[in-house]
Amino acid sequence: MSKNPRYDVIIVGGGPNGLGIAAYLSKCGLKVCLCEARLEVGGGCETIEPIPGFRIEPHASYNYAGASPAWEQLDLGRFGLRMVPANVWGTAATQDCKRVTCSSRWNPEAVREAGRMWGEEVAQQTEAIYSVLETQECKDFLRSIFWTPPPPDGYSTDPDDLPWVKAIKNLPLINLVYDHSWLDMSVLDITNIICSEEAQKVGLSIAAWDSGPEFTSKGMGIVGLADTFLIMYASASPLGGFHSYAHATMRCALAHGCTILTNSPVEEIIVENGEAKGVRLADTSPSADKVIYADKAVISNAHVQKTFLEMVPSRHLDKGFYQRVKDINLNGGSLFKLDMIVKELPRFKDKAGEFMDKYPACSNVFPVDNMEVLLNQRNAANVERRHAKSKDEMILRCVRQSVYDPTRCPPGYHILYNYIVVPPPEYHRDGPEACNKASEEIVDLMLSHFRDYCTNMGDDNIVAKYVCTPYDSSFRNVGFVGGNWQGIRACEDQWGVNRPLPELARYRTPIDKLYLCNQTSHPGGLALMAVPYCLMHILIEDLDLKPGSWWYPSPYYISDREVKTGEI
Amino acid sequence: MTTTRFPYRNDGEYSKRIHPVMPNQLECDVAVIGGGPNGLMTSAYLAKAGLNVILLERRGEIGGGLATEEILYPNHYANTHAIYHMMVEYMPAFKDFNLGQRGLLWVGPNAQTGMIFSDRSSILLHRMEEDTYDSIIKYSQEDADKFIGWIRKLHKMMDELLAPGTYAPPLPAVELAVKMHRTQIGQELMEMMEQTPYDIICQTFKHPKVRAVFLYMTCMWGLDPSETGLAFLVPLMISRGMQKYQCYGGSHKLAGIFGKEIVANGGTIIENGEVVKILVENGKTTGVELFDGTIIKAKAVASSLDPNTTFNKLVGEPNISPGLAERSKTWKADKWSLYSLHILTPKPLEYDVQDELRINESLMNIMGFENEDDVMKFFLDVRAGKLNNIGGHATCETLYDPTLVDIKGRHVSKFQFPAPYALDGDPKNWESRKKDIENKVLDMWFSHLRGMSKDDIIKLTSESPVDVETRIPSMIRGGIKHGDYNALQMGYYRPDETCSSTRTPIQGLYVCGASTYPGGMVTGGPGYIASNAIVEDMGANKWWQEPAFITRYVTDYLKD
Ligand SMILES: Cc1cc2nc3c(=O)[nH]c(=O)nc-3n(C[C@H](O)[C@H](O)[C@H](O)COP(=O)(O)OP(=O)(O)OC[C@H]3O[C@@H](n4cnc5c(N)ncnc54)[C@H](O)[C@@H]3O)c2cc1C
Ligand SMILES: Cc1cc2nc3c(=O)[nH]c(=O)nc-3n(C[C@H](O)[C@H](O)[C@H](O)COP(=O)(O)OP(=O)(O)OC[C@H]3O[C@@H](n4cnc5c(N)ncnc54)[C@H](O)[C@@H]3O)c2cc1C
Repeated sequence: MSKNPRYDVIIVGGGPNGLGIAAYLSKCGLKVCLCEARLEVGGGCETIEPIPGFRIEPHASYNYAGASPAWEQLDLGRFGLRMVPANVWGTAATQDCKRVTCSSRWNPEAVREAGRMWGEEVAQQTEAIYSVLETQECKDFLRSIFWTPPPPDGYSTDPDDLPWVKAIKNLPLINLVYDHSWLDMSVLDITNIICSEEAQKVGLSIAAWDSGPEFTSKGMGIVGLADTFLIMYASASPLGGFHSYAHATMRCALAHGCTILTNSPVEEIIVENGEAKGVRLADTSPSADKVIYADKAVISNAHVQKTFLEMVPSRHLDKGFYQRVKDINLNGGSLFKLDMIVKELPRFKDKAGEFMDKYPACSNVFPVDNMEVLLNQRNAANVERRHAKSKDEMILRCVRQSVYDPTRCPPGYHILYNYIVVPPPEYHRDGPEACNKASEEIVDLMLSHFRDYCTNMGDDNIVAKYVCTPYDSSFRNVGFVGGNWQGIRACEDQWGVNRPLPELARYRTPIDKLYLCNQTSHPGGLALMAVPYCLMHILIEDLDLKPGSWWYPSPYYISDREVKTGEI
Repeated sequence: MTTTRFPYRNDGEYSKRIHPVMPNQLECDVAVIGGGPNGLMTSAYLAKAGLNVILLERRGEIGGGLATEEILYPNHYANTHAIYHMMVEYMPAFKDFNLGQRGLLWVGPNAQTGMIFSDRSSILLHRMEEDTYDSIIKYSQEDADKFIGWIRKLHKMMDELLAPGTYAPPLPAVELAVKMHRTQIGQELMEMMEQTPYDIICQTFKHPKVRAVFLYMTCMWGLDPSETGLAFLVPLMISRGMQKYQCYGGSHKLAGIFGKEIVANGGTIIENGEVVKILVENGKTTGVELFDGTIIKAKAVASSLDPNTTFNKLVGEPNISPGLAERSKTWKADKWSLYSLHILTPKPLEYDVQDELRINESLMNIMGFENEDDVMKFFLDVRAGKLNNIGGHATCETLYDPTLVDIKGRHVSKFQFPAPYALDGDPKNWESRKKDIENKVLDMWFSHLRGMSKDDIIKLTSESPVDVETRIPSMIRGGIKHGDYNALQMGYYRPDETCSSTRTPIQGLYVCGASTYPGGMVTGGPGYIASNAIVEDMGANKWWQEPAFITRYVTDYLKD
């Protein structure tokens, strides 16, 4: 057998963040090898065709990465990436189906029409928010939060020194109402300041919850608000489904010489003298060499708990650290998902129906005017640790990418991606398989909820149904511990300088040359290409990289050196 | 209601406002249509030759027939199309791209093809002749003796003529016949041609069970048992039927490796990129247009689609001669397709047979037939659009490839059989009889299993010929070979005598798919031949060397 192969860098995992850093480092000229456990790279960015002609997305569906520097830097368009803008992004119906809220960057008319259902003032407020999206300051604000590494230890604690505080103060409209008390607020608190109608509050809260922190989570209000901006900002999805995004990133890496091994789970990150040296692949890997060495770095795109509780042998870790990793909270992003193939889009009753027929949107939420219901679903999942059991806990999200993307299914059909939040299987009070066992009940509840709002959701309209529980997700993608779409809870204790743990916030780890690049690091979940972009700042310093002129850092980045020498 | 489906246009707007994405005008040297094994190989060879290649694939994934998909969603994959790779030892691409060193593994167990009968007896054909001999001898000493001589002859025909012939451009039938007659092995092959597959099998073997297994193996991929003129495919099917490999990690892995090769050599792969037009100016191709309006300018275009699609639909009448238009229009689809039922079970399948212990290790097991008449009747039924008795072949895919399931210990298996597109005259019958057919298949299949009942099935899904066409519309009528194997559509006539060399009457347009010589399956033949032609015509760097077995064939057998 040949001598064990050596690379500059080994990346464990081919999710969007693993692929992203593979592309970046390969483009910097490093010799990179990426090992992916499954038979396809993509991680949470998958599109599959379980029955012929119909493509569904097991995980990611909305694209949020509109403001990402990575697309430009990695030139993803050259690798075939196309985006389908959703003319109307989302509509949400009230309980009586008499009114809607509407979100759309590309169709101001629809936004205005929906706004007027609530009065001229609300209409103007909403329009004003959309005008903010078009400003450079909005992009800067988003980049200050998501595309900037957390500041190093020892950095100023003065709120005025925080990147996103600097940025939000420049953000039109919002800067008129912002003060530092926002730093301790939840999304819900902020909506109380900026919204007048309950529907707006619920709308923003749910958008934030489905894109990041829980809407009640204190100190996460600004982040949650920014998450809702991310959605509105991008307002498009990759043509053909989310896997196309993984393809483009993967091909960027390949074009720059990256080696990708699939079906190659890493069983051990090899550590010698406190330094990561390489990886050992499972015996099932088709690779002839089961041990591969890395001269410069091993980067884990796996979940932080998988990395330290399973891959790094525990003898190399401090007991206290080990326990802290174990204690990381998994709540807040486990989705019970029901995909349906239907012949007709759900036809909502009354005025909501008229509006939605006129402006078919990429997604629906219902009901949007009852905060109680939203809180009930949250409490069922996080406090009572069970799945929703009744309609007063049911606020349903329905994604309908086939409205704008003709490649998703044949004409005459639609794909509906429906979900609610449930506890991670590990935390479910009735055991990890509870949602799987109750799958039929939950589906019935979702359908019955549909039927309360829509006139055409009978069995004759539904061609097929597929359920994916968080438990299933955690098998499908071993990265999704707890099936949590954002890996771990996004709360102040686990965000920014604390994500996933304070000592890991800058992507470095207690093991030299071992770095993290998973959504369990800052800025968290979503296929934003943000983790790799942030990590690049660190690696440029540690590995002395010289990226070409295509690279530009975050203007808000603070290096360790700056803190140490007091240069700021 | 207003419209609920919107067309997508690549208008460049998104690039202006949000992100740079793929432009709506691109340029390249060669645009390749279709990312199946042939389109992929063509692109990979050309990209490495320094040509700027853009591969256009209609689906969201490259691979075409090299598809491994999560159809038992969530968590369980199966090979929806090709699973048995039969030209692993010959395909030049394996050496040219050093696939063995690239994390690509093939598993080809000794136990290759079993046939299981209702009395719990069985035959098991092995890669190793002696083992097969031992299995046949149970039924007939004479057949066993005959088998050894016969299989050696067939392997020789394969090595000397058929395998190299797969990778060299075709000769006109008469010229080929003259050349074949110069050698004894060639003569024997030509003699076979005059017979039907059924006759050849029945003349070779006496015992009905032995005849049954060989007849099924010969015809399962679409060779009509009662058709003359094509019997050179008999040695090919038999020889390859005992040298099948399964691609570890799924057949799609092979597609992935070619994909990497293309991109690593500067090529571009565009999925969700259905070509709707081949652009031709003054008898010369200038590029292609995609469904979303994207224009790709190219000096050459290689299409892996069937001739009717390539010439009539994508090029269009004014740019092709009436003769070619007519011949393409009358292109005959495959006589039958394949039906597959995929199941997920908590353990591997165990067949209830009394004689062959290794049957549970076999890559493929055939059942539902007792003798050659059953097999014959089955194929005649299928040809007539009927499905009276169910018989077919089964494979437990996870036996040799546990990576297909995310939940360890579970197993994915398939039962497959040749099946008509228009069932009882109407393709819609597949949908209306779906449950009924699934049940019939399961009853037959499970009647041969031990320690497992239908209740043990965790998940199940079936794909009819109509489904094959829906997944990949270029597999017209579910045709796995992009067109029938009959004397008028084979050899020099595939797809047409003006195009079978892969060059076409339109300058810069090539054909390189399963509807081109030598035909379908994952052989890489059409793609290899097209790559040679295009590299030569474009004066690019031919970086690969013809393998010795092909050179020998060309110089020894084909020389004037
Ligand atoms: C139901 C659901 C819906 C979602 N919706 C959206 C959405 O609409 N928009 C959005 O932007 N995001 C969405 N997400 C989140 C998004 O999918 C994730 O944030 C993203 O995939 C995280 O990327 P990652 O690269 O950090 O990790 P992952 O995508 O989890 O990738 C990690 C990879 O590492 C591999 N791996 C793990 N362990 C090993 C090992 N030992 N050896 C080798 N490989 C290993 C895994 O197989 C996996 O491929 C959703 C997620 C879920 C579950
Ligand atoms: C159920 C089934 C089982 C099979 N089993 C085996 C087996 O075990 N062993 C074996 O060797 N063979 C098997 N085959 C046959 C084998 O898959 C095919 O013969 C082989 O894939 C043909 O290769 P190709 O590249 O010519 O075309 P294909 O594989 O058909 O690829 C053509 C590609 O072109 C794309 N396309 C179509 N229209 C357009 C357009 N307008 N623009 C762009 N792209 C387009 C398609 O999406 C497809 O990806 C099987 C086939 C089927 C259906």
